Amino acid sequence: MDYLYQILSDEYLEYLHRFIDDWGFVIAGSILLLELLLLGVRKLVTKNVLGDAVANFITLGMFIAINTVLIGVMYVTLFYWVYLNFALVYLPSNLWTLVACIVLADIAYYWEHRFVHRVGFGWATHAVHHSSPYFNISVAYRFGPLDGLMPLPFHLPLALLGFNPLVIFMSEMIVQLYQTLLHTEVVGKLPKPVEAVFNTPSHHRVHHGSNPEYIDKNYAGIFIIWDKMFGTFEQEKAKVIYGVTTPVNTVNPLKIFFFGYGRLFKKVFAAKSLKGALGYLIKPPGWHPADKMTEG
Amino acid sequence: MTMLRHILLTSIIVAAVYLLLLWVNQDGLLQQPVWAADQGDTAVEQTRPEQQEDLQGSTVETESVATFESITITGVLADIDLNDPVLSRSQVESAWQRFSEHQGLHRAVSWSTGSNIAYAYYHHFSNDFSTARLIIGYQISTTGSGLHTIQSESGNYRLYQLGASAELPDDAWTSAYPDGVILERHRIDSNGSVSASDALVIQ
Ligand SMILES: [Zn+2]
Repeated sequence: MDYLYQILSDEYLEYLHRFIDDWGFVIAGSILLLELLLLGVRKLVTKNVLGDAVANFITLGMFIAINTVLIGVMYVTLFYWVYLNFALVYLPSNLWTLVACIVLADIAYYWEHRFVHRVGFGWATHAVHHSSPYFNISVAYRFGPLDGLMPLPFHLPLALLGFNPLVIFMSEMIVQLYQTLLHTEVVGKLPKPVEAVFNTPSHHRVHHGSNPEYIDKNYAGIFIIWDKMFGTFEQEKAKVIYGVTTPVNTVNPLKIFFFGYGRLFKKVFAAKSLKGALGYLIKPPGWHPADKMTEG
Repeated sequence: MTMLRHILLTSIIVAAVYLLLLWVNQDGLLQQPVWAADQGDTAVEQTRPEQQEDLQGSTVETESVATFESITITGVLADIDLNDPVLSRSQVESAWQRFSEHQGLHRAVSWSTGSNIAYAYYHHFSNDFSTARLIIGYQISTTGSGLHTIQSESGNYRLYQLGASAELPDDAWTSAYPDGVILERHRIDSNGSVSASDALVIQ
């Protein structure tokens, strides 16, 4: 059991982070190729499917650009600042710590994900990810402009608990990577015990559904048990209709990337009162001020 | 009401996982990361009394003989050119530099053993005594990039108490010749500086 206590040096953590991240990308790419191949066999590869996939990767490029220039440095600095100044204790970076951090990062992910679905300015960025009418691995890489900022308040407490920021970043990456690999129709339902505990492609298809019974369900990252605990779980039954309730109908990456904030600000600026404007920003996506509700 | 229940349930889960982790790591918890200790007045004294005894004594060169058990040392590795004093000095200095900058190593040692003794182990002398291998590290086995682990030789050794300069006397070098090893022990203070040094020369 000694290896569980063996210290993972910062250099090793950085190396492991890159290693997992890179291989994750290779595996995701292979799944995407397989998906396209299967679609090809069924003669379902259309200009729209391909255009959508290309647009997804372009939004990824824009997301990375924003993260590199604006969010990244601040994000990392803030984690180290909290860790060095306010941590309750300093946890040794070993496998025990990493596993615990993944579990905690996963529950943080659940709440972050629920937050971006239920708060106007969060949904404006996350809606980009949900706006594809398709469901394949490339959709996992479809990001909104501020997607990199949303995890901050939910994951920062981990630094306060004394996790080495590198362990936190690695845990976030692992949760994200696990999530990425769920974006596929190639995998049906997995054995019952797996479906009961873990998030699976089936559960995540439900999450991407615009069917009324599927909306705001299955927020989980790795463990589906959080959804079961917090009352947001739904089983995949009816065929999933992917996308958002008001479709974007475009494969233009720029339009896709900014459509959420476009729609949000249109509503905010059209609001008749400050309360109304604020409501659009912080209330759930479908919300309207009382005066508007009576109108229609 | 639902919100309150959710917050409560989340807190319970987080607390449970966290307490379990603290329990598992109970011997490894730190007041602060070791590499932050270099940054000044908030430093925590990490010296253990029994280890202080190892290096107590005058800073005048003295000599004694005893048996020494083998230890595991993990640290940074360097090849030293013994023919050229200027070159070898810079090689040793750069090895110390790499050692002091290896945060993973300092963090590993701080929780696992609490040791604050750095070892500089000269071994693998070439036949003509022109080169040696040096490892600077701690008595610990850990992994990490740029780290090497070695088992020191056991045997009879001479003990030299080193002065403030931590300079090894010439006769220490000659007594290591031809196939001995030299094990320097440097006690590191909480502010990161060496407070006492000695050397074991195994013939
Ligand atoms: Zn979502």
